[in-house]
Amino acid sequence: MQPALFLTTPTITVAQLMQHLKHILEVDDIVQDVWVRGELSGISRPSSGHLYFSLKDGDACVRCVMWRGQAVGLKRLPSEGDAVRAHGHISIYDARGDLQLYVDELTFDGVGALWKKYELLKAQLQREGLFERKRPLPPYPRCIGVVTSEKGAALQDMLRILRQRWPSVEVALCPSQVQGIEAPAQIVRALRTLNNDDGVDVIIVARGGGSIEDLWAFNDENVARAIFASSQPVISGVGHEVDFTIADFVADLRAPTPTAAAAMVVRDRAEVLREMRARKARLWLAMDNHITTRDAQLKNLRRVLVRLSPQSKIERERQQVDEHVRSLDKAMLHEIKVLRERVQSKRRQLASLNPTAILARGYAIVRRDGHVVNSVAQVASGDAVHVRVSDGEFTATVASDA
Amino acid sequence: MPKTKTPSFEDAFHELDETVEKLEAGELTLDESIALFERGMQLAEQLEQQLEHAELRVRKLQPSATELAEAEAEYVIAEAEDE
Repeated sequence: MQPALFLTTPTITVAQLMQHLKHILEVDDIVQDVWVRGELSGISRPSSGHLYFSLKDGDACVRCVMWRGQAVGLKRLPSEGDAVRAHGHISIYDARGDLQLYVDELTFDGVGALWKKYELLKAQLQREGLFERKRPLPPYPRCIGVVTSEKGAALQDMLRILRQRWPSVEVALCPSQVQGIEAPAQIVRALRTLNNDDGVDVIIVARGGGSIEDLWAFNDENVARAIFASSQPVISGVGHEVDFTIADFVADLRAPTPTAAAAMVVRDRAEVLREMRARKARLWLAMDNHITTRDAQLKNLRRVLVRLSPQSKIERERQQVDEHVRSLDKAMLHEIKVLRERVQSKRRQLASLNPTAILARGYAIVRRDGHVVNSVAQVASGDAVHVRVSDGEFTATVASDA
Repeated sequence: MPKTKTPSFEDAFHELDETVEKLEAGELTLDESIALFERGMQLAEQLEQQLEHAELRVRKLQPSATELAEAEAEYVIAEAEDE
């Protein structure tokens, strides 16, 4: 101990203190190149894009910062409680006097923790009912909103399928990163942008296959909520057949792959063209039936018309007249015959009363002045009378009064 | 994109189906059936045309400044000072 040296305890400025401490740290080989293992907590990521968090291990805790340049290289957005290993160097943040780990690399320890988070989020969203809403897709969308990476093979695959199946559709592409720390925010933003577009009537959110960490953006809670909030139905086509992300559960329809999503969103035009031809054939057939029916009706009407025409009426009446004439004739003949018989009978009767037959027997008819004399009172003596006998007449004079 | 006023494919297809059914049902005057037939053929041909002579259009949308800000705000998990 050299008391003389410490007679006056040195007074230094805060800046000098910080400078001194930094110097101490900078010359230490261990803290300048170190991997620190711990759990993430107090994560924040302001709009600058830098990532701030603490690494905890029991009661021990160290503040960490990861600059934007490195943070964007992260496979996924870190979240509370993630078990990680952070690489970097230790220094002092002058403004606060905080000891900080300046992180340049962050690795997530194992996927077990990821799956645990996945299960937790899935259970929570399921409880909230986000998986139950399944809206029908428009059968013939005019404009399909697409959220995917502009550079990915998934986009080209989808465009190829759409071109094949239903090229009259329009694609509104809202490019987005689909992996890494920036991806969730970009996907959420793209969904909003597409929702604000009037034309879009269905949305595909897609990404090609990859590791669970590559697909992690689709297990992000905000992405899930943005899909649920979408005013238009959303189809998810993420990863391969076997991958089920949270986005898949929330989407109105889950397609196993991006290609499948494109095939599900539109019908195949070849099939629709076949339907169109079938309808045209039905139109022709129905029209043909109409004409055939009309034709038959026309023929039928013509027959009715002929039957009802004045010509046929006249003929029918003429026939009736003929019949009447015939029956009239018959009646007349009968009448004539009856009359004739009556005449003959009368004639016979008349013959029997013929006075000449009496004259032949010696009787005579006496007339005076044309009147038959059948009483003595009708004549006086000297009257001239005509006497008719069977073979002629002569005149006589009355000789005496009766 | 200007919102087109032409009936959608769906509406036109629906009208075609209705036209076919009406024509098949009969009970029409000849004039009516001819009108339906012509309307049906016209619709079918329009739809075919739409399917056969179309080319996929792709337009790119960029988020507006507000949308950018909104989306990013959600990922700012807590207040923090930038260095």
